[in-house]
Amino acid sequence: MASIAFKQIYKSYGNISVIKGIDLEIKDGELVVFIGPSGCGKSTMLRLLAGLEEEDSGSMYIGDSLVNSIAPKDRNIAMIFQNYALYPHMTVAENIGFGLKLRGMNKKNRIRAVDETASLLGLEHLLTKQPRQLSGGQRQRVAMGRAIIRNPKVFLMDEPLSNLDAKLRNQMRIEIKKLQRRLKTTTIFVTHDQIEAMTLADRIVVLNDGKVQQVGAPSKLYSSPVNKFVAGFLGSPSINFIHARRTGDNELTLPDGQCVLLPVDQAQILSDLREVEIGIRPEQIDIVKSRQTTMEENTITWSSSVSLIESLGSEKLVYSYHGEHEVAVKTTNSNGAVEGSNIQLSFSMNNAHLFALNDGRCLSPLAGIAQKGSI
Amino acid sequence: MRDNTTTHGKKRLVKSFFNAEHIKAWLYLSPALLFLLLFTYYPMVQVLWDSFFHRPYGADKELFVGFDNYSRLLNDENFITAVKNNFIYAIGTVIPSIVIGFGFALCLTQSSRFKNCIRSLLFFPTLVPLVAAAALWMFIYFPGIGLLDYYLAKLGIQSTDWLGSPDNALYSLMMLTIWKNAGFYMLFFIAGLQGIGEEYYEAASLEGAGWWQKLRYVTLPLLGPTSAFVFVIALIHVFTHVDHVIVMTLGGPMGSTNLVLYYIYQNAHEFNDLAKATTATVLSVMVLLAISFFSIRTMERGIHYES
Repeated sequence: MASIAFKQIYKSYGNISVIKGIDLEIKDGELVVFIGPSGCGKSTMLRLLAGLEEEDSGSMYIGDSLVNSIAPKDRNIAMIFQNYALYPHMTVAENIGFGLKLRGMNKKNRIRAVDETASLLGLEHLLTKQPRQLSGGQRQRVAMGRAIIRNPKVFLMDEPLSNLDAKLRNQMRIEIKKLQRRLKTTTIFVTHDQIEAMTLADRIVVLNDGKVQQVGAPSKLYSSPVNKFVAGFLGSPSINFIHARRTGDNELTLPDGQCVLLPVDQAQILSDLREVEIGIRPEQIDIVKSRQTTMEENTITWSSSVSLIESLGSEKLVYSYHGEHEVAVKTTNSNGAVEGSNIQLSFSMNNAHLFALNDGRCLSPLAGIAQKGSI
Repeated sequence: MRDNTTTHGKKRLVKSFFNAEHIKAWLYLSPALLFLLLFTYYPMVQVLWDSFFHRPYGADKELFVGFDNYSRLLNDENFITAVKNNFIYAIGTVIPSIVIGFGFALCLTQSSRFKNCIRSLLFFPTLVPLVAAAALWMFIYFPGIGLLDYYLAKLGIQSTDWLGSPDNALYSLMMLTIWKNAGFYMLFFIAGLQGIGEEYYEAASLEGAGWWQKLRYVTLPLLGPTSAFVFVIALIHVFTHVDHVIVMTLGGPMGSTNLVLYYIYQNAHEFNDLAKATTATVLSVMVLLAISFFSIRTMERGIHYES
């Protein structure tokens, strides 16, 4: 077990720079999830730490030791690959014990260790099978077995669940989390699936374009994104963005001409910005019966026409158009909305995030605090 | 009752055999099948049949002689020598050319302009017709003034009669064969190596494998199917190529380079002992069939790839 530190990491392939100066510290025993769109550099970071790629500059520490120039096999890292990379010519037992065999452990101890690991993962009855005889979930477990048997300092998991079907994915996700809690091994988990990230992580690292966008606990990232990218990337359906012009010190005008007054603290942060985007989460919009007459001054009400309703069981996703804007609402009370009907949407600016139009940074006070907080 | 059901079952079998799908399948197959029957299976059966007949010199018709041809063949010293030579030739060419081809492939798997160049150079001998290669190597082997002796002389080594001495001739032919085939096998191994996923090596390096261990535990087992395939091709080469014997040594000196196929050729066209040639053909076809049967089994067992 060990902490991990990345310091000013840069990496490029030819002319294409993929990691542009990343600083990151991961605490001992933490489960950190790297998330970001394809090509954001999340897998590259993992491969750099594993030693499968070489960084252009910067330094990486595992525990107290600088690992830049240490060979992959001596970094004491175990990695789980997206397609598991199980050896098709070896049995499950041989696959799990491969690392121990390479490190010269004698056969008796090796068999004992394999048996222990197998029972931890419920693989006892599969030890003599070959990988091609196993189901996806079982292969996944064998790959985990190969990783944990050596008791490495760090686990690296590169989208390990993406080859599984949805149900199995949920189940394995829970197993990974339980296992990690039990073993307390520092883990980096790479995914592009935000549900995996939100549910697994102690802390999430959102990456985009080779840079860290934000680091923090899942709930914090969700409630206080530092910029438009993070706000848009986390949450399903995605946060709604609405363009707004500033027409007074604490007054914004929406494209439909509706004016809204900002709470005083939000207004201060705007300083001299003329244009902003309002971000509002789908679950923070209500569907109301009719245009409320006693409108609070920082509440926005829209009439819009419903284009699609998706039922999630207890909740409903209502997609509607307000002018050209598609607005997603997640609610338990759809107030009788049906596809094609007109409904009234209402939300309070107290729940909204404000983003600068020019650089996408978040202007809400909460996000401001997060930005200065421990990253 | 019971009879009834079996006839019923038979009828059904006949019906299903002649159902539309089957007929279509047979129709699709028929052109290839026709030619295979005409030019492969029919001659094989004919040769087998002929191997039981013999027309002694001067006789006016063929006589059925049972296994007489076989015992004549197995008592023919020249045949035994040819089999022995073929055996030495097989071991001495198949193994080295596969090992060398594999070594080349290991060095040249990753593509780069330089490596592509080297690959083409190494593959080049494959493109040269065997007859031309044999003629070329006759110059190399020419005693005293040939290319090989010329350079050996510079190292102070006396001239050697590479093709004219019974001790050297077969080995000289083997050198040529290895030179000619290693590059060909290299190509298969390169394809095989490129088919092994990079993540297998990455996983191995994280698990602690060095270069040798990766070769031993990852590359070699995963190349199993390729190796089996190359092995079969190499063995078939050994039995089916004799152009160089004809060009360079005519089986001599003193039968030291006589291979089975050349022996068959000699008996058929020079000694006019068709019965012996036929019988030797039957035996070598049986050996080839056995080899391909055995190796296809091994290949199938060697395939680990996911379905």
